[in-house]
Amino acid sequence: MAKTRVLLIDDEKLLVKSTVLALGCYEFDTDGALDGPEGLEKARKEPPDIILLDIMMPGMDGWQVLKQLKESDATRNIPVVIFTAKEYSNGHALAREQGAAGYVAKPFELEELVEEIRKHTS
Amino acid sequence: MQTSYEGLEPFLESLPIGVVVLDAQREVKTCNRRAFELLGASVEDLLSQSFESVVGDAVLKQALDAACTGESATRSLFMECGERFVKCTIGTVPASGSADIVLVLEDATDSRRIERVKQEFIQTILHSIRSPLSTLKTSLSIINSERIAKVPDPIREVLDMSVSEVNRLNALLIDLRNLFYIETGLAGKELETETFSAGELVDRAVDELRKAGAEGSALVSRLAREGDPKVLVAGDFEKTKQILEHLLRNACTFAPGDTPITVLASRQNGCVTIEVRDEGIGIPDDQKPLLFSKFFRADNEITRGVRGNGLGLFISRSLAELMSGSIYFESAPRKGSSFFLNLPAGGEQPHAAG
Repeated sequence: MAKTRVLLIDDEKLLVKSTVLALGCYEFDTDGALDGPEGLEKARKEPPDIILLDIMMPGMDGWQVLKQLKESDATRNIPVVIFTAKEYSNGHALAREQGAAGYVAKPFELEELVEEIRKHTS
Repeated sequence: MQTSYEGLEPFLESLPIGVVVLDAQREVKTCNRRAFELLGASVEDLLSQSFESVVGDAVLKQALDAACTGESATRSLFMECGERFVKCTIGTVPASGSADIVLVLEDATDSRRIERVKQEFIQTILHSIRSPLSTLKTSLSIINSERIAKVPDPIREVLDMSVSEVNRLNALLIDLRNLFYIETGLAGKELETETFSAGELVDRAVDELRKAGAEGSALVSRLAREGDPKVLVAGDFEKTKQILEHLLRNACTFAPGDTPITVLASRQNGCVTIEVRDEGIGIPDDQKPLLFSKFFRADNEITRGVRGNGLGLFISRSLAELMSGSIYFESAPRKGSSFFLNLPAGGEQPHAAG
């Protein structure tokens, strides 16, 4: 079975490195991007099965990235899970209102993230 | 009765503060030069117009009304006067038997600027630490997952300890941030009210504590749930969760061993009560009045060995009150304690939780 391809867009290098490493131990093939433009380019070139997107990024923030992803035919249907700095009880509903498939509040646990990815890719 | 201030004028002029005396009609009876400077007004302004129209500050008008009706003896307020920021203390002259009102004006421009710089400085520090710490917490816990690698036991031990230290630092930062936001009045502004079920709240708080360490893991087996987990609460989810975490953590600390810790959710009229009950050492009568004070730490055989900052209950009560709720407790020494968190009840339909 082909691995699920995950693209992680987050400006925190340490988080990208550790998450890419950790998700590699599951059924995921993960690539990282350190800012919005890099993430958009990677998403267009080789559309992944799911995108994990940080909201608080300098320059182009996560909402802008999400908007562009939804505007392009090549990336419109890729589910996007957003990372927020605050925890909401209705976070999933809030995420959907903005066009995302799901949400994970930072700091998160690996199992939480894996569960969320599986929910939107299986 | 008329009170004369003529003899006082040289004295008033020698003061470093501004002084204005008004009669019952709010006409200026006397004032010193420093008062003109602080108000940014000329002598003519003050003599030809009513004092209020010169200053034109709505809060000041209210305070003067209150002073006239004798509602309060003295009160202080701050006014913007051009580029200056002026502290104004308003009082009456009881000994004179007249209805005169005395205003004492002080230049607070510098102290306000320092206060602002201080606030911005602390906010920047809190913000700059939060993000890398969150990354570090996530990365460490990811790397420490048994799924990632088989590491030798001594290294695993170091990793476990590092995770727990980072968690402790993160909890401390959350407390300090809450404290700062409460003290500066910013806390109310960042609250976001949602509707959620008590059951969901308890799940997430317990989950958070479970992840944080051994004590939290033990809580899962000690916890008894009673009442109706479906009751809906209206409040800021994250802050409410933080309050419940504090109450549960205290219950774990002060009820050692495997005695049950009970969480009971109920709704009465427009209010939801979440009770956290333990069978621990209880709170001595002499410490009860101090329990919600800032930096208060109970002194007993348990707390001597436990790290804590004495902020948990102070923050919890302040946050609960900002969400139009309250916290109180009942306790009997050696029998246990019950803490009650009251919050407004939510609407009939919870938000879809995905």
